Amino acid sequence: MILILCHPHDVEAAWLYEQLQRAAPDQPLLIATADELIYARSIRQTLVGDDDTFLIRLQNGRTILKDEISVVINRLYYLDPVVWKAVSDKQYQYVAQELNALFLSLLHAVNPARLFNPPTPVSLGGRHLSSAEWQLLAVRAGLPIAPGWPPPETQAFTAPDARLLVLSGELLGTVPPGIDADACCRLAQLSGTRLLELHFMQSPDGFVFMGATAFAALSYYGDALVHHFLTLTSHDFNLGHSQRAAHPAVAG
Amino acid sequence: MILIWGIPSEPPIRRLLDELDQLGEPYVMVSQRQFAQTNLHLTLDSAGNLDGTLTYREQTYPLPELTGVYLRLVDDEVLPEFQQLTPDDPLRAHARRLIQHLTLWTEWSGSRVVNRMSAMASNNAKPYQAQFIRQHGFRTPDTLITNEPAQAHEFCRQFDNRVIYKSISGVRSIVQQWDSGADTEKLALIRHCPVQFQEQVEGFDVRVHVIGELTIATRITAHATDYRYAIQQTGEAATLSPYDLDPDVAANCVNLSQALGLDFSGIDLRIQPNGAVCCFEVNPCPAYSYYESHTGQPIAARLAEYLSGHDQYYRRIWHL
Repeated sequence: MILILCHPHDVEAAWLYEQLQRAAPDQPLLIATADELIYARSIRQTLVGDDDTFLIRLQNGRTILKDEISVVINRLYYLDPVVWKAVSDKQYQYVAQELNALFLSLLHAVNPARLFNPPTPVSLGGRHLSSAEWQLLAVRAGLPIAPGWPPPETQAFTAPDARLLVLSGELLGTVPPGIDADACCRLAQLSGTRLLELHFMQSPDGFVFMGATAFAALSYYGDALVHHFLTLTSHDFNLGHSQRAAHPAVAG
Repeated sequence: MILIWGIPSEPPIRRLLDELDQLGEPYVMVSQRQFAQTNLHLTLDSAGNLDGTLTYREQTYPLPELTGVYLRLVDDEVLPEFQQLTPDDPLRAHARRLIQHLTLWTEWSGSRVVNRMSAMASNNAKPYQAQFIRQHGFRTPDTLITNEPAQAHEFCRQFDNRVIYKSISGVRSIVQQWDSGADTEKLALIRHCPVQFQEQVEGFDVRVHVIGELTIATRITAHATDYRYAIQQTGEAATLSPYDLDPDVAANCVNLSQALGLDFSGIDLRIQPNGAVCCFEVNPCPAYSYYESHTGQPIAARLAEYLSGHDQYYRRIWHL
């Protein structure tokens, strides 16, 4: 099963779900939002002997079993059990911490090779760095940045002039002029993030790195991204499955 | 020079300062409460090396000279000086930025940091940390986390109701023993928030403090389910004494601490009657002074040696 985890208004996740469904109608596929996970009918994680497994049964009856997951596209960053605010702030804070701790543990139990991106204790969505940290790592990776480091953390988000995606060491999108493609992959590697979108802006001296995010604008990468995920569920990727033939949607 | 950042009156910090004085090691103690008189200026060279200065009470220290760092921070919100600020006081933003810069510098400068903030976060989820523990030669108690009353009931039955329950996250909670009478009625409540149930493990408790590659172990004898609350739970205080740790277990403790990115940790073990070693959790910011004050074990002294990169530390590691 390809599992997409996202927040309710994540249009990029919804786009990916539709594209995967269209490209591979027989491929088991499930999209679950943060609210569906928080209010799941059953959640169970067991750490017994050498076994480490989990089950989540949603209110609609769909079930997520750890052993049936082939790929997870994880776009959760924080689970907010907002209805608890009506009880008391203390209870709300407690439940929020408990739920986020549980889903950190559940996601960590998934083979990291199947997970885009693995969570960290700081963010369910994976490596969460400040703009200054991303730019520091970018310089170490060999990418140019704008003068005036560290950038102010309060600066408003501006749409990048160019973006590209590093996915398992491969680049999707067009590398901006003057930018070293290998340096982009090195940045993803330095940050320990296998799915990472890099943002660039045009300056008088050429393109410079602005920042990066694990919450990529997936639709920007179109069919290439969809085929990449489908490939991961079939050949070229050892998931421990007995069948590794190329997926019909991408074969040939 | 060593940088210590936190509340100077806290016993773990006070003890560390005493030992740095004993060693004659220079240090700067930054009180978190003095955020208005503290500034961190960071710069980055073309190769990505961090540089800059720390200014504290009008004294300036070049960051490359701060080779060892001990962090024991509290949330800004609990500082009286922070609480007194109006919502739009620029000092609020200054205090936040200070911690952001401290985080950035300690994460990426390459200094010896006890401990990096990112590493300290592993304790926010006990079952997450348990997965690391299991990979490093320890057993963990059989555990079920669920929002299903029937599953919880069955788990308790499997262990003859010798089960405890506790929080999943890092929220400090008192470990409670399952009471098959009173607690069964409350079980329906877990529908609203999953709860962690664990088999009760027999044996005695050992706290292992890992300092780099050194371990100092303390045996705790108590009749309580949670020895931290022994007096409340049993009316009898826990007794603590030095413990001679098996070398293989000590090595596992060091490896586990390193896997979690922790230079200094407090690992909670229970030695079972059959000799098996069960590990409950790894504390990334241990209040070690409690163990030291009951046993006289030199935890602060070793920590001071470690932070300063003192020869004595390496002589101990290499048994010279």
